[in-house]
Amino acid sequence: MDMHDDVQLYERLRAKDQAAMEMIYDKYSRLLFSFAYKVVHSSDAAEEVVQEVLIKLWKGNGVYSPDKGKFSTWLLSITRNTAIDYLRRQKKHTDEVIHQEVEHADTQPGTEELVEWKQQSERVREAMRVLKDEQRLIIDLFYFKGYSQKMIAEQVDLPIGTVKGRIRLALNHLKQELYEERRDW
Amino acid sequence: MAHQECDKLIDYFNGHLSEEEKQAFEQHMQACPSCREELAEWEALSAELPFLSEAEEPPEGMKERVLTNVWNSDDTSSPETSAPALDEKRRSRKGPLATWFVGAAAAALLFSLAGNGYLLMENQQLAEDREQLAGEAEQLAFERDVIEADYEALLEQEDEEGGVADVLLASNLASTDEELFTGEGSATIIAEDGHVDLLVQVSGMPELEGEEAFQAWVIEGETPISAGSFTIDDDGNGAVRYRLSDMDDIQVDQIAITLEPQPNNEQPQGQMVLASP
Repeated sequence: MDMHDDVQLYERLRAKDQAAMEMIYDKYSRLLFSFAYKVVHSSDAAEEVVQEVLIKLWKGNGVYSPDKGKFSTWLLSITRNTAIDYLRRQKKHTDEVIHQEVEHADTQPGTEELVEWKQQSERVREAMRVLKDEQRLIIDLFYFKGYSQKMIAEQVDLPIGTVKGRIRLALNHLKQELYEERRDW
Repeated sequence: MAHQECDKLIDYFNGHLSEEEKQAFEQHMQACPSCREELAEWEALSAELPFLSEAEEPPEGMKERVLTNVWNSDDTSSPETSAPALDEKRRSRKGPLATWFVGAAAAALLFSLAGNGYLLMENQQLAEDREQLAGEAEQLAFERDVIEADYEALLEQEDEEGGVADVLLASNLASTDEELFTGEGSATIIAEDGHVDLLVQVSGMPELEGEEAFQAWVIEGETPISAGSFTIDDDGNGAVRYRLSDMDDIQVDQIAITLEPQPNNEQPQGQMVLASP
């Protein structure tokens, strides 16, 4: 996905260009919806999250600039924050069954824009596979569920003071796997 | 204490802090580069992890519903009439989301942190031994890391009252010309209670005469910045402490000690006697 295009689209969006918003919708809604769905586990809720993200974007809450990295990463960060806020509001958190990563059948991306998704997905999945179960669980609780430090400690049965160190280790291990071949840090 | 404050990064990142706690933590982060860098790393996770999501098909009619609600969310119902002045206001407005991205600009630092130096070293090490040892080494490293992390956490807990200092950087200071100057020293940068301090210790230094004093310098690129003057005892031992976190965005490239004709110079006037590699 061309970063330059995204920056231009974003600039047009800031000028309240509805067509630009629609293009952003077409380009990213499926990715945002799928990511939100992974966090909130319901189609209605995921739609609500995407809507909230786009309203924030339209109203200019939170300002993007290229020095913050890729537009898509920024948008996904907002989606994550919105989705875990949604979960907190629903207070569904604690009752929820821990969702472990499972292998799925290969899903074909529907549009050209989703090719990057597929490639990224394979890369990240590959890296996750190498992690220990506990590390995968910690990343899931920390990143996808947005648990608090205390909730993670309870869920994994760790002293609360060790949680941050475990997160760091799991992420370092993941990055090591992700960048082992490319060495592009 | 600093560590417990740093521990709040998880709850900050995941939005579990009250407004008051959040503000206190943001203040802490201004003085804590390691929290800022870790936050940037965590924010950069969104470049990778969301792609683990399975491709879901959005429900029928979602586009129309969502976009209608987006247009309706706008109090200025006609987008064309929105004046530039209003846009300016919007731009400068700090919504709650803005603060989530404080560190995102530092995303380039993703792999540059001390902890990643370790990662890099370990990676190189692993690459060398990969053929025979990859599996075993990784397992051992993992177990060692887990033990280390738990041990650090235990130390933190034990030391609740006193505060624990984290070493960010440690370097030896060696004589620049062993024929002319004796002496050696060490420079350590530590983070404690939300401050970042430089500690310089020297020993075996040559005697001072008259008003002479040693002066420590933090060198950023080519620019020396004074980190304080100090004298030595009869045995040639001396030390100085300097608060780096009071300065804006300093990058420490080298640390050096000069012998100055008088203390507290703005620029070095004397000769460099010790320097970090």
